[in-house]
Amino acid sequence: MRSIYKAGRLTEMAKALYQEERQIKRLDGWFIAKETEMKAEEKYSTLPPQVKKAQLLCEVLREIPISLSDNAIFVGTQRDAFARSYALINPSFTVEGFSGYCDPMAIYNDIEPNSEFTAERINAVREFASRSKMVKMLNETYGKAEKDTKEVIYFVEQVTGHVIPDFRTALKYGVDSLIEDAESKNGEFYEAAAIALRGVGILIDRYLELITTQKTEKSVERVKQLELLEKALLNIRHNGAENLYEALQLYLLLWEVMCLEQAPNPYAFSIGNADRIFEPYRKDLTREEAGELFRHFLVFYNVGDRSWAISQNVLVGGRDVEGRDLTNLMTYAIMDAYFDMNLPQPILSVKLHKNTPDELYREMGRFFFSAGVLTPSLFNDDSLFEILSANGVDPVDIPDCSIAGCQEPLIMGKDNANTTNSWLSLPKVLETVLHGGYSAITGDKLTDKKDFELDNIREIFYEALDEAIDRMVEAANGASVALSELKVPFLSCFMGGLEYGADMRDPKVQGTKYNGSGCLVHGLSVLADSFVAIDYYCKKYPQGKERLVEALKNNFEGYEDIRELLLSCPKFGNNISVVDDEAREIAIRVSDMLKSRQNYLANPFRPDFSTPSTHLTYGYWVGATPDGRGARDMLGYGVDPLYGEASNGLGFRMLSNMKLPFEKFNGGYASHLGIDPKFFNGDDLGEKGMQFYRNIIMPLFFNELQEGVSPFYLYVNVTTPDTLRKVLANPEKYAPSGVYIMRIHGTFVNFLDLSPEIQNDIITRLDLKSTTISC
Amino acid sequence: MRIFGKGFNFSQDGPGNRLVYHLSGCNMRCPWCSNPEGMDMSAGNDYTVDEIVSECISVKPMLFSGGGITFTGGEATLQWEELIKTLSRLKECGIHTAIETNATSSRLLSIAEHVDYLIMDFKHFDGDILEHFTGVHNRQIKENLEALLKSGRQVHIRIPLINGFNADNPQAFAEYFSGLDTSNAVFELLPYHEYGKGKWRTEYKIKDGFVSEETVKEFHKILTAHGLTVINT
Repeated sequence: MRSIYKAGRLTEMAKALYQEERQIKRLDGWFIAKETEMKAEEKYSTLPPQVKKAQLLCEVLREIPISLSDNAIFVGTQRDAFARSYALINPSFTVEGFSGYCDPMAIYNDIEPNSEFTAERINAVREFASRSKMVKMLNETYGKAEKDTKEVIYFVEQVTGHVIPDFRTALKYGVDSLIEDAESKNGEFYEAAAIALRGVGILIDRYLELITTQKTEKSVERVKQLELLEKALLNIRHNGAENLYEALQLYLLLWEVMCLEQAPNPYAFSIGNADRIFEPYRKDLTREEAGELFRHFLVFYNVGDRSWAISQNVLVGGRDVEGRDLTNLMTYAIMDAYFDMNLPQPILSVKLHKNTPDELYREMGRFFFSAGVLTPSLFNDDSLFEILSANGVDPVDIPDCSIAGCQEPLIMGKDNANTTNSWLSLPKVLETVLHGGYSAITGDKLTDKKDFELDNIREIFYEALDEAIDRMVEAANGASVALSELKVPFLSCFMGGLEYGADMRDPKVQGTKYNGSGCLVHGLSVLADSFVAIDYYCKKYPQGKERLVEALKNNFEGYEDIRELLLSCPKFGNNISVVDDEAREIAIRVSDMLKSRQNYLANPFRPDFSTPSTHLTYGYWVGATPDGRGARDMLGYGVDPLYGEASNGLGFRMLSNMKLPFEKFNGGYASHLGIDPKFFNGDDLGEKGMQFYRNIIMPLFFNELQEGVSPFYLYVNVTTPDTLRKVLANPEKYAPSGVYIMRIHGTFVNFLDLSPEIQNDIITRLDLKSTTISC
Repeated sequence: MRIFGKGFNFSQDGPGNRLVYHLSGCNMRCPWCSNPEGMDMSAGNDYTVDEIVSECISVKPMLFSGGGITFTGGEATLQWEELIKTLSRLKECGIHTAIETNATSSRLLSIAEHVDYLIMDFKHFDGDILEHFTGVHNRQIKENLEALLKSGRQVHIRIPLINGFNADNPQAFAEYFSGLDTSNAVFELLPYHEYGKGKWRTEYKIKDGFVSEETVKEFHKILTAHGLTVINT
């Protein structure tokens, strides 16, 4: 390897490869995959569903066009599994136009017909797909829930992706060992698994053929590179990986097959604890050499001109069951690669714990304090151990806790948590109560009327919420069962299927060790602030119910005095007990209500207090609320205070946050801090990293005075609104590479790729008044 | 008590994580001041001692790693009556306290009795130069420092290093301090910065206050050579 790639050469090639990827405007692979499946459907129509799916996957792997750039050191791509669909990086995205990503047919609007992919061709596949059992079941589910979903009292979706496959056995012993395992067992799943696993060989053989051809026409330097690649492929065709190069290559091929199996758009598959997965293969490679190889691994995860595959999480750091630190040299090699490449995908997360070495904090300093550079999201591994074990996860599995998607903690290879299955808007439920079942936005009747008085508003709200959750759960389970029609034998092999003998989506037999369904809860701070404001209002105007309702209905027009009173009431995020305790109580009650509900496999729903930009889109459907928030304004982000309401600085905001019942949030939660870099004056980036640790991480995660379970998640953007406005006004000057990475929810985004509304949301939510530090 | 700002920081104004109150009003007019908005006694809002104490109790979970409350300014000792009351009440509640002062108050010793940790500025050994730049002579400051050291109290002495004001004569600083019993004192060097520059509503008069790394090292070396303990926070 060293003789073929001199120091720096791999990096040069990785950067060129990424630039090539960003030139790709059309993504047609997913369509070819669907069309191939359609054409082969009849050939396999008599087979049992799982076996049929495995055969169709192999057909796709035989048909999908393949290529190999001169800058590539690995074969494989996941480009053919994704469409240009993800709303937030679509420049035409608007808050009011967002209707969720649930419609399985909507994807056919994302492919623009041309001479090759004609309208006729597209329509044929669209027509075929619309007749599938899954689409029919899903449409039926949405039809029943329409009154609730059209203005988002709740929302449900079928969840593809969003798990962390465990490829370690395949890396160590080779795919053939898994095939042998499957073949030694009986049943439909195992038959399907063996066929699907052979798909990797199909792909490798095709790439070997391509390499053979390319070897006859390339330069001497490139031929040597191709020979090295060929050697690696020949080994991993049947065996386990012998070195880091082979391990990364095999991993990427497995990933490609896994994504193609679920094309289009299997969002948010995650890599897991990458430093631990790959360290055993690093052997004598130095940090620099391993980092150079890893740069190519990173490029793979960027699809097309805007990195359309999203929320793919790479984790580093963390601890074992005894609390020993698990960072290794690969941790730092990976971080080097991330820093130097600064790509929109995959996203980086770091697991921290009380024995995390200072070196890791110092390394993070350069990420946090270099403008436009990606920032890792942060997890408190000590808390995760407590929360997951309290929620039934075997402690020996917890070191493998990884992040699927944005912030959802799942066990690699063992947990199908169906994470974004359901979405709930607490303020919308309150609105239906206050307005007699009618929407304050459209005036439409959405739910039954409930009699209430202002002094029993909580009781009636929880009653209405209970009923809404019942309806939501039915719809969510309907979506999960509909999705189970789409079998995933290949993925299931890396999720426990070879042990349990079932597809991971099977609605009757649990194919993974752990299973649940997620519910993303919206509007915690708005609801808490609203309840407290109602109490204050009630004290002042005991007979004022009708006037308050009228004020809300009219978005406070003509009722400015009422709005002023409501806005002056205590707000969450300022360490004020009355409202912080209210938020805690809501979080406990809502979590318990969700956990008491059963998913399609009779496992509990998992509360996840996160709002991946849906605080905007759902807020758009909520009328004025009793906290003084205007109609259609955003809701609070995740568990954070509503923008502008926490004005006493970081410590006070953290104190409010620390009172929340994190032990209940086994589905995850979201919290963001916009940090002004001026508070960090260390001599170098490493020292600034330590200051970040002392002023932000330590108080929040490792505060010995915290009662109960400490917070376990945070992401930050270290910048100012002024800086971001300058970047937008003059991108050539401030982001000459065309890439300026910011974090939005759990994913990186190229700030310049975002729609203006999301750019503005990022700027607004920096909310620097809420994060001031004394200096 | 009149307060113009508050916030937390770790270990910069006393040990551990601390809630820092900025008390309004200052008797000095340092042209490099990073909190000029608090110089005037009219800045900020009034709080009762009860309100402050109750807030301090409510933030206890943030006072980790041996942290506590720090009163700074402006110049905290200008509001000495409320300050002493508040410090005593916090002591009763078992909350660690610190003050950060310019040490010009003639009552400093009586306040010092009520605090757990005392940080004082020592900006210049030469009273005339100090007076020229800030409007206040160092007579009382020296008297306070000497009395504090004599009493055996812990003192954390901060020297802001500003080009054109005090950064050219480390030897004179060291010689002054080495004439005192500094066994309970620690020294900290604060190189000039301009974090507060944007907050000045009148002309910012320091033109080139930055000191080189070498200057800081030189100060460190000479103070240490005189048996003084120099720390970084």
